Amino acid sequence: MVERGPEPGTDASDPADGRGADGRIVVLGIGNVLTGDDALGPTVVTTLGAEWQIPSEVMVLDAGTPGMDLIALASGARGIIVVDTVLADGPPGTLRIYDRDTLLGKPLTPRVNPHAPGLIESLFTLDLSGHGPAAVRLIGVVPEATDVGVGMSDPVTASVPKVVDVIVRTLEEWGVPMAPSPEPVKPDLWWQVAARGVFIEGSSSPSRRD
Amino acid sequence: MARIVVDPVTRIEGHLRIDVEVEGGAVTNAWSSGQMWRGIEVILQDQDPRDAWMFAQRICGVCTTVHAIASVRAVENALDLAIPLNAQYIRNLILIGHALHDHIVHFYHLSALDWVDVVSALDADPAGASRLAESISNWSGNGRDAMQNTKTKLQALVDSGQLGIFQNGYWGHPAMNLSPEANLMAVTHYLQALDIQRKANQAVAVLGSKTPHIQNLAVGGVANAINLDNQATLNMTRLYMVKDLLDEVAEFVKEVYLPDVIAIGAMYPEWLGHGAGVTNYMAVPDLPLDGAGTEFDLPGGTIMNADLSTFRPISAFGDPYLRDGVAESVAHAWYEGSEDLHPWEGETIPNYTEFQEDGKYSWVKSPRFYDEPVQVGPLAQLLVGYAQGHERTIRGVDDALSRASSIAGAPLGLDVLHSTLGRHLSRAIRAGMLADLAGRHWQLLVDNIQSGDTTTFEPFEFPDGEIRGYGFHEAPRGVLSHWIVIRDGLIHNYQAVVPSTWNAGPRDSQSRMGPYEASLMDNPVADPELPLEVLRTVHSFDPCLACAIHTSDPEGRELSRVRAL
Repeated sequence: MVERGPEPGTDASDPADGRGADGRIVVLGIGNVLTGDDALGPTVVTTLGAEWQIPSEVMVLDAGTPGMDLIALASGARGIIVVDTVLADGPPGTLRIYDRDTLLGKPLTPRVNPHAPGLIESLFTLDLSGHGPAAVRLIGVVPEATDVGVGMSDPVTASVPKVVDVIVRTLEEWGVPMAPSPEPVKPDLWWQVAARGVFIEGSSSPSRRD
Repeated sequence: MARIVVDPVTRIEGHLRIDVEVEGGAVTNAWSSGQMWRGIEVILQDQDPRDAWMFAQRICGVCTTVHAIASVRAVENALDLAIPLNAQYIRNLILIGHALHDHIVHFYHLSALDWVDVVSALDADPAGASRLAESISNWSGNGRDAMQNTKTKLQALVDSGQLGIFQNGYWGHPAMNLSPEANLMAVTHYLQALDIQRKANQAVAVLGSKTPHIQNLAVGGVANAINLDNQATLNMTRLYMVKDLLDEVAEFVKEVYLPDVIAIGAMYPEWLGHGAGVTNYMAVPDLPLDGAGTEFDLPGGTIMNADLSTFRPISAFGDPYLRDGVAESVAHAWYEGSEDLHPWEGETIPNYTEFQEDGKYSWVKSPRFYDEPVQVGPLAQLLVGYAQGHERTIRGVDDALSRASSIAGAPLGLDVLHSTLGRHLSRAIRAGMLADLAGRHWQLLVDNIQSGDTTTFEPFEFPDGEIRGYGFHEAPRGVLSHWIVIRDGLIHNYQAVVPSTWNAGPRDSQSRMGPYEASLMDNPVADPELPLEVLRTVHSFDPCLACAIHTSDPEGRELSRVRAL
């Protein structure tokens, strides 16, 4: 049996992560790695971090499905870039890009479940508190299927480098010079060890894997 | 008769759906349905038990930390492994920070608008709002300027024609009855709570390396290296950073959150009479004070039928009373199987049938404790603590009830806690206890380190053959347990019995309602088109079912609807 306890001194605590977003640009990958194509956001930000040098003024975070906890992650940021699957027209893998005015231009509908996704609600609330980011960009990809199970569809997998490219261009547009990592590594998509097809009738749309 | 379906299933994921029938202005029948299959159990089969917590914390994006902790505790229980004291205290501080964050967000940002009429705040006199706030607490943010500032921001929103987040509220509803000044006070605190919840989150991030997914856990302890003289490890600078953040959060809890809930409870006395539902209660002890988990700072146990004399303790990790008492019914849930199964024997074989109100109608199973439905959550924890004679609990409950009585001008006893607003009040009282315990566990950690102990991890090996364990945590929403069967070092079976399963589950094999369903019975509903009262009672449980999946909806398709049939 291999020992796999923590090794002394390998603790990755970064006090900066406790400081909040103050003045930085925050890149959030949103989605659940356990539900098919919804792993897009975490996959993209993990890939970005493995292939590009991340400047200190940028915070890249696999944010999971934080709901209104987005407020805590984005509070005080100068700009936020959000990567997520989106409900939109177009074949799976289609990129859709939305900016601040589009996102905040729609009236909100009542929520029964207080933990329903809260990107737009979080942005409104941040604005009201005076900590809202000046620049907002949602980079969305139309999913093929988001059933319970690990693994993304081919078209959504193929969109990952395109989304990474849009993030890099957006950061440059917002005044942050970006350079590829001199020693790119393979992204640590640790959840893929559990990849296998799972098909659940009634829970979601038909499966697309194996 | 009207049939109301509160049903956000128009999205591609599912979440909570509530159906109620209303006759003569009150609820006469109710169904609670989880619309999403969770499936972590299937994903984890044959995985390495040491990695289970990483997957478990992805079950729910809001409850990440609690699943991670229950998972490592389950594996440690199977191994019969005690962890170092430092690891226990560091975990405890993370759990306290997470719970305070969660309780504050739940009240202000997810359910206050059930009680607070934002538009009415525009009619408030800021000086009056300030006087009201200062009469119930010493918070520095209660001045006239703070209230005026909020009013100005609100007016600007209204003038812009876009009420944003407040569009969700049912302002002007006949069931809203706070004064304009009370509404303005509450909205002011809503905004201040945004900063405070961020600080609670930062405390978790400093200790856990990151939020929302902490990185520092390990079966056997934590990955934090402790060296007070090394900048790269957990040192005094970081420990003081944690202390400062938690101190600020604690002050807000005691000077703002708790007084606000006490005041709102006293101002809506009728809601201390609605929404009791299932009055069997269960809580597990938490914040362990030793490595093995035999002594705790928060109490655990059960009481049945609201009768404190029926108290039975749950007193240690692995306690057989809890271990042997849990079975899950799938009689009304979309799974195969006819018998109630213990989680170690649990199956997760889907059998979807559409919504059948007399048949299967939910993806949530119905756990039962020695065959009885039980309610879990902060209310349960306070009641079992009170029954047990737990000093900190008794002090917190008595103090809050006495302050509520003086605002209400009528004596309010322990019985009022069995209610919709009683659940909110219990959560705030528990947050007050946690605020005190944050300082205590910080000091325990620092004292232990200064005594020369820097150990954070206990090595172990998996034996050949089969071992079983379960881990529990008193999460913000109540009793969370993870159950694991390990064979030759790999996961053979894994089941998570989450708080919202206990509370939101459908009817069981004897057709008895779960706590959400039972609590809705007899609730008043003034206007079936705007079933605010239904949301009040459901929100009082702090429902969390929908988080397994998330897809943004930037084009504004329908997220949820309320329809009367």
